[in-house]
Amino acid sequence: MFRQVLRRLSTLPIVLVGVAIALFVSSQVLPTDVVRLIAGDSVTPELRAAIEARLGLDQPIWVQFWNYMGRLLRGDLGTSIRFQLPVSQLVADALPASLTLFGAAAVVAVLIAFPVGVLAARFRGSWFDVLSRGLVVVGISSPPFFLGLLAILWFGLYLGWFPVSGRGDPPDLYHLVLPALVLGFREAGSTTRVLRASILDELSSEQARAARARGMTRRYVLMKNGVRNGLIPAVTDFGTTMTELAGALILIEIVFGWPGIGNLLYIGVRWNDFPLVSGTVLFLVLYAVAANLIVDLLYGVIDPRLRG
Amino acid sequence: MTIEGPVTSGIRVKTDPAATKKFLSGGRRRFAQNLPGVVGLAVIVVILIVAIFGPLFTLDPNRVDMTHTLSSDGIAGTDALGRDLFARVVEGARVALFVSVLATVLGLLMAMVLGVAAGYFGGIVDEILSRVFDVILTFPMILLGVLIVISIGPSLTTVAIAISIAIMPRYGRQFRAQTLSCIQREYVQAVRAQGYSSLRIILRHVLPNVWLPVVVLAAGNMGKVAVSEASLSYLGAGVQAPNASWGNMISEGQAYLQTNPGLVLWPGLVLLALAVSFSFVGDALRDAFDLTE
Amino acid sequence: MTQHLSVQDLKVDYRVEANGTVQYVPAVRGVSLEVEAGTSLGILGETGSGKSTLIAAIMRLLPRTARWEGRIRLGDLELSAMRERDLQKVRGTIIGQIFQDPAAALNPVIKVGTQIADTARTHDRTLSRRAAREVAAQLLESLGVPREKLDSYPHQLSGGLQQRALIATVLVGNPGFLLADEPTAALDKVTEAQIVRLLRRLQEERGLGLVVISHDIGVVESLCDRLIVMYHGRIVEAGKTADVLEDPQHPYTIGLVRASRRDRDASGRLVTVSPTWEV
Repeated sequence: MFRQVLRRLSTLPIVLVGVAIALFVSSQVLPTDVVRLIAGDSVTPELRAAIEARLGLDQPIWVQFWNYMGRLLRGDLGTSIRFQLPVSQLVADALPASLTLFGAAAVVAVLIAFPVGVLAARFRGSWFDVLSRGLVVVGISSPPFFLGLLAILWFGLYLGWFPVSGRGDPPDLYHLVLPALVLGFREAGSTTRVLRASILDELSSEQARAARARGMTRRYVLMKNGVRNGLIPAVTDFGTTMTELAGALILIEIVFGWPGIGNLLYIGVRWNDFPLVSGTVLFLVLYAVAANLIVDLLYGVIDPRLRG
Repeated sequence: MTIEGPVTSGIRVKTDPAATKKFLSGGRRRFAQNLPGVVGLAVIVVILIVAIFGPLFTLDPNRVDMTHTLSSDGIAGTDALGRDLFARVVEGARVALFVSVLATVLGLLMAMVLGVAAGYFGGIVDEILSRVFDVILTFPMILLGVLIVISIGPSLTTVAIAISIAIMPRYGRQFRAQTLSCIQREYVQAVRAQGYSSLRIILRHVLPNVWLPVVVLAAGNMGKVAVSEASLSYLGAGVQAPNASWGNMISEGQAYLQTNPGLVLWPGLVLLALAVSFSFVGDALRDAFDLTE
Repeated sequence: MTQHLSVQDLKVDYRVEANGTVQYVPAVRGVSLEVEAGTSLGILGETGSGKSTLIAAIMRLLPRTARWEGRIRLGDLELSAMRERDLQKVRGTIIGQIFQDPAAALNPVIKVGTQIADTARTHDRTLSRRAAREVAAQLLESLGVPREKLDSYPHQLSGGLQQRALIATVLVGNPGFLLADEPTAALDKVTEAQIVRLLRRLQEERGLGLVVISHDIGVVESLCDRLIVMYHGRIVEAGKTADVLEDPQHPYTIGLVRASRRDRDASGRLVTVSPTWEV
C-alpha cells in the first residue's frame, strides 16, 4: 500500500510541472493576440510595445519561462484578461461554490449507491434489480450536461419545483438540489453496479457458505459477509469515481450557471482568456492528483488485510 | 498451434488461425443472445445509416434563413438562425461518428505501440511507460481535452486527437497485460530462443494474438468517446460554430429551453440513444468474449 | 444430543449452460448411507466424486443451479422436507459443517472472537454481548487457542489456529453431528495431526456423530469407524474402516489403497488409480 502511495506522491510534481510547461508552451503558440484583446484592434506600435513590456512579453523565452515558474510557485496564476483580476483570487472566490456542489453530489451518490446496490443484490432478478441496472446504464453513459438540461426542463420549468440557474443570493439549499441530484445520480451508477456485483460475489463465497452452515440468519450473512466484504471494491470504485467527478462537475456548473471553478473555466474558454483557462486547469489538475492520492490512502483504511 | 518445417532447420511456428476463428464465432453467438446488446447494435446501425446517407435527403445544415427562425418547418423545425434542425442533427451524427472512429483508431494505434513495448521489453521501458499511462489517467477526460484543444486550436481533428490521447492509457494497459501473458507462452519462448529479432517476433507472433480483445473493448467504448466530443463542443473547446455538433447545438439551444425545447431535445436524445446503445453493446461484448477491464 | 443420520437414494444434478445449451451434469447418482449416533463415517474419493456435493445436500446448502431428490433424515427431523426458515435453526445447533480452508471459511474483515460470539448470540438470543464473548473465549481455550486471539483477524492466525477457530464457530451451537469436508487439506502434516487428534477428542468427549471427507487415507484411518469410497457420484465400497483398507474389493479402492502405500507393480512403476472399469 505504501508503495502505491509513494508512487502517487512522486507523480504529483511531475504532473504539475508537466502541465505547467505544456500551458506555457501553448501560450507561446496560441494564435490569439493578447495585445489586441486588451487594447482593441487599432493599436499603435508604441502602445503595443508598452503593453508588451508591461506584460513581460519582450523578454527572451527562457526568462519568460523562469518568471512564469517562479510566479506559479508563489501561487500567482496570472491575471485574467476579461476580469482584470488575479486568477488566484477568482479561483479562491469560486472554490466554495464548487466544493459545496461536489460535497452535496458525493452525499447524493452515496445515498443512492448504497441502498440500491444492497437491495439489488438482495432481490436479485426482481423488477427492482432490472430497473435499477437499466437506470445505472443510462446514468453512466449519458452526457452530464444533457441530463442536467432534462432535469431543468422537467423539474425546473415544467413542474416548477426548483430554480434552474445560479446559486441564489445569498446561496440557498433550493438552488443546490437540482445540480447535486443530477451529478450525484450520474456518479452513483458505477458504484451501484460494483457494489451489487461484489455483494453477490461475496454471498457465494466460502465464508458466506460457512456462515450459513452454522445457522447465521440470511440478514446477518447479507450484511456481515456480503456487504461488509463487498464494500471494499465498492469504496475503491467510489474513490475512483470521485476523481473523475471533476469532469462532470464542470459541465453541470455550466448547465446550471453555478458560480464555481468549472464555470470559470467555461468563461475563460468562451472569452479566449488564456490566463484564466490555464490557471483553472492547473488548479483542477492539482485537485485530480490529490484526489487520487486520497483514494489510495482510503483503500488501506478499509481493508484490514492491507494494514498488515 | 502448428509446427512447420523440418526440425533440423529450426522450429517455425505459426499462430493458429483456427483458435482465433473459434474465439470469434463463440463470442458472436453469445453476443446474439444478449438482448440489450442486440437492440443497442440495431440502434447504432440505424444512426450510422442515417448519418451516412442522410445528407442526400436533407436540407443544407448551415443555410441561415432569418425569416423562418424557431419555426416548426421541416421535420424537426428550425433553430434560432433558421437552420433546419433535422439536417443539423444528421450532420451532428456524422461528426460524432467521425470523431469516435478517428479517436478510437488513433488511441488504439498509440496504445498498441506503447502497450506492447511496455509488456515485451519490461524493465525500465515498462516503468516509464506505465508511469506515462498513470499520469494521463489522473486527468479527467474533459480537462485533458480542454488542455490539448486550447493548445493546438479547436477543430474536428484536434478534438479527435485530444480524445485519443485521453483514452490511450486504458487500451495501453490492456495491450501490456495481453502482451505479458502472450510472451509467457511456449511458442514465443521458442522463437525467442531461435534468435529472431524482437521486432519480427512482435509483429508476427505477439500482435496477432493480442489485438483482438482490445479492439473489442474499444468498440464498446466508442459511445463514451462520442459523449466526450459532445461535451467538449458544448464547452466551446470542440467543434466550432457554424459547424454542427450535437454539443454546440445543445449549447446554443439552451437559451431557448423554455420556449423551444426541441432545439436541445433533438440532438440530446439522439446522443443519449447512441451513448446508451454503445453502453449495452460494450457490456454485451465484454460478456460474450469474457473480457475484463 | 446425538442423532442418527440417514440418507436414502440421494441424487444431485448441476445445471450447466455451455454454448447456449442447458445440460444437467450428475454429481451424486443415488447414494444411500446410515451413520449411527456417536459413530464416525469416512468418505474417501477424488475430486469430482461427489463427496462435497453430498455434504452440501445434507446441509441443504446446494447452490441454486443444483437439482436434487432423495430423503435425508437426522433423528426425528426430515431434513429433506424442511423449509429454509426451519433449516436455519437446525444448522449449527443440531448439525454443523467444518470447511476445508479455514482462511476462506472465516470472514476476513471481522475479528475471530466476534464471529464466534455472533454465532453464539444467533443460537441463543438471550445471551448478552459480554456473555457471548466469554463463551467464545472459553471455547477457544478448550480447543487450544489462547484467549488473546479473540481480537485477531483470521489472516493474523496460523493455519492450525484458524482451523481451531473455525471449529469453534461450529461447536458453539453444540451440534450433535458434524460433517467435516477435508478438514486438514489446507494444513501441513504436523498441524494436520494435531487437528485430527482434536477431532477425535471432541468426538469422544461429546459423543458426536461424525462424517469426515478426505482424500487422505491416513486421516480417515485415524478418525473413522466405518468407511465408504465414492467414485463418480456413486458408492463403490463400504464397510468397517479396517476391513476396507486391508482387504479392498472394488478395483478403484484397491488402486487407491495401493497408490497411497506407494506400492509398485511388476515392472517397478508406482501403482496409480486408472479408471478402466465399469462403474
